[in-house]
Amino acid sequence: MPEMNMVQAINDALRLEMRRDARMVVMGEDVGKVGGVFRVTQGLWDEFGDDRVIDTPLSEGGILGTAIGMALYGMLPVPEIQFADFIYPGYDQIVSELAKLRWRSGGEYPAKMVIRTPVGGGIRGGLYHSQSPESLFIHVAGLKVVCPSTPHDAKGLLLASLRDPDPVLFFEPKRIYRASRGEVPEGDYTVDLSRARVAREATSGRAAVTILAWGAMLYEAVAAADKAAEQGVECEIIDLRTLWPLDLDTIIASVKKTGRVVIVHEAARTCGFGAELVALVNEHAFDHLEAPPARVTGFDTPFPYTLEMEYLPLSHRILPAVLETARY
Amino acid sequence: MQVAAVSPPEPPSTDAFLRAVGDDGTVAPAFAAEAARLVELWRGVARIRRTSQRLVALQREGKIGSHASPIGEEGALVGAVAALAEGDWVFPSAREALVSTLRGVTAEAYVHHAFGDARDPLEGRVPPDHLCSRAARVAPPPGTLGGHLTHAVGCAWAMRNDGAVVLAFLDGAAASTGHFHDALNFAGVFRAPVVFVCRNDGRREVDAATEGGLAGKAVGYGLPSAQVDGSDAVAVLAVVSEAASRARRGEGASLVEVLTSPPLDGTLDVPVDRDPLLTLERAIDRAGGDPSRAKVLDELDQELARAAAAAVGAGVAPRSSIFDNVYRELPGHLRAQKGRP
Repeated sequence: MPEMNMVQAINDALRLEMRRDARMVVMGEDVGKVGGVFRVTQGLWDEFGDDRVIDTPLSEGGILGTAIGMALYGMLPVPEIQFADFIYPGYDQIVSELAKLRWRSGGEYPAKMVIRTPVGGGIRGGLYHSQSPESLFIHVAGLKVVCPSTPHDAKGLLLASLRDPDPVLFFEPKRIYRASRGEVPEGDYTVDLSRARVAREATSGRAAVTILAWGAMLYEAVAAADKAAEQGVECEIIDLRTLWPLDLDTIIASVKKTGRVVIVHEAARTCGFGAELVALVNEHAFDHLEAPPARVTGFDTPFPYTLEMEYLPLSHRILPAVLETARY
Repeated sequence: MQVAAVSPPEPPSTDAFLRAVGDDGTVAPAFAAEAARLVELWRGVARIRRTSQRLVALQREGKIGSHASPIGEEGALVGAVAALAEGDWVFPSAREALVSTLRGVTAEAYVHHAFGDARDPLEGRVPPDHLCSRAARVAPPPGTLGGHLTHAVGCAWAMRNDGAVVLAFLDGAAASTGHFHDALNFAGVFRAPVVFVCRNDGRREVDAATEGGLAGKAVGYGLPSAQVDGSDAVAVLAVVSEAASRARRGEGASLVEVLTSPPLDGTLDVPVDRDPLLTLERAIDRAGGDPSRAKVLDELDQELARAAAAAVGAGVAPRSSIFDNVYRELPGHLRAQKGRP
């Protein structure tokens, strides 16, 4: 089985599906000849040409609106937004149009597409190249939101997203685009969009702590769990993979087992997805809790440039939360 | 003979919007092809007019929530849609959504939709004038003004090798939005087969600093444009036909500005000299008259009365419609919310 990084795995998924599905086109700023700002679409233009790998004018609203029109006609557009931070000029198209089209047309005009965009910090990108806006899309009815943490899952989740009937925001954690490596099966496979992954299973029952994480922060959760183990605290780590709709069953089963939960995300704390996760845990597993649910998140500030490692909820910030929760 | 030139990409003269029908009802000889369709155009304008009058009445009676009336602007709607072939698509905004009734959607379905009742094709999800129909190739009107214009471009790009074209309507105010810029820019770059028909209701001086009015904005995108009098459906048909032909030949998009005269005083009274219905009646009378006119209006009124009566008795849309079609399959969180009383 070949080893790939996440960029290669996503590229492999795009190529595979474009060969399989003639309706599919890739579009965006410099996705063609250049192969995208992170080279995720490299080589696609050479194989599929101008008609299926489309360099567009620089306008996220134009890219997404045009993609919606293609989708209404029956194509499968896969627009790339260069950085999730740039998605806001197209947010109106996503929120007011894309998310609502199936519903408001009574099912006559679903607009199927997968919007790919890199998210997250840790690449010295500063405030406009580092944001994690997932909760802004989870809040909007009609969208699915996916964020892989491994090359294997990136390929399988992307193929599943492309074949899913609903519009998907596919958030690619850019900090681990190349830093994550792993075995990726050749050829076709999908990773179920409705299932979280238990990245580490705890065997010590109610002495353990559940950590919920996704994307690049999964690795920080793992590092924190390793440190916690040295201090006698075991963690069960759940990689959400699909953020919405949520695999609540896997989360609740784990929290009922451990009675403790720490939620990690890069996005700002207030009204971040962690807030919803805490609410769901309280609604579904309150009687099983041994400690208050904890959140380790970005701050309620813009994303800083030089001090980005202070902002990010790295393992050294996760560890105390895990230990406190375990010893509550 | 080129009857109603869509100009090359330079601003049109604003001295006069193109007309085909003279004050005495004479159709200029250059418009002979369109003149052969006078009765068809009149029937379309009459259908939109009568339906809108009925919907305004229903709104004032409190039976429906709202209605974006195109009264006085029917010449733009009917003339433009008459330029299309069956396989072409229409992207209306709310004020042109009634064009679906020119493409096979029944008055009954439209009135049920306006009521949002149990027989509304959209099951009461959205306010009046947001009806769409895949069978009629009428796309969903947008959520925000101008939001559908890039959809029209994408759809046109997708069908560019199929010989079909897209007609996108917009209100003149939408020509100030970023959507408009995106749409015309993308249409120009991609040579998408789309015709933008922009209604200018005479209040659009805040929306254009360009020479040549709203149509003049096309110049910057490399698109040809034209201005036409919306009280004259014959002229609209001619200009939009020419623009559609260009698009079909692979020559790309055009912008047509249509000067309309809706009543802006809260009445339904269209100025007599600017009324697209009366313009067509003058032309038809000049050409020998149409004995079926009274009968057509009578049948229309009966159809609408039946539709309104049916809607009043149709009952409310099912509660399940709130949840169904958010996604194709109902996810767990919506299953829970749907099941909760």
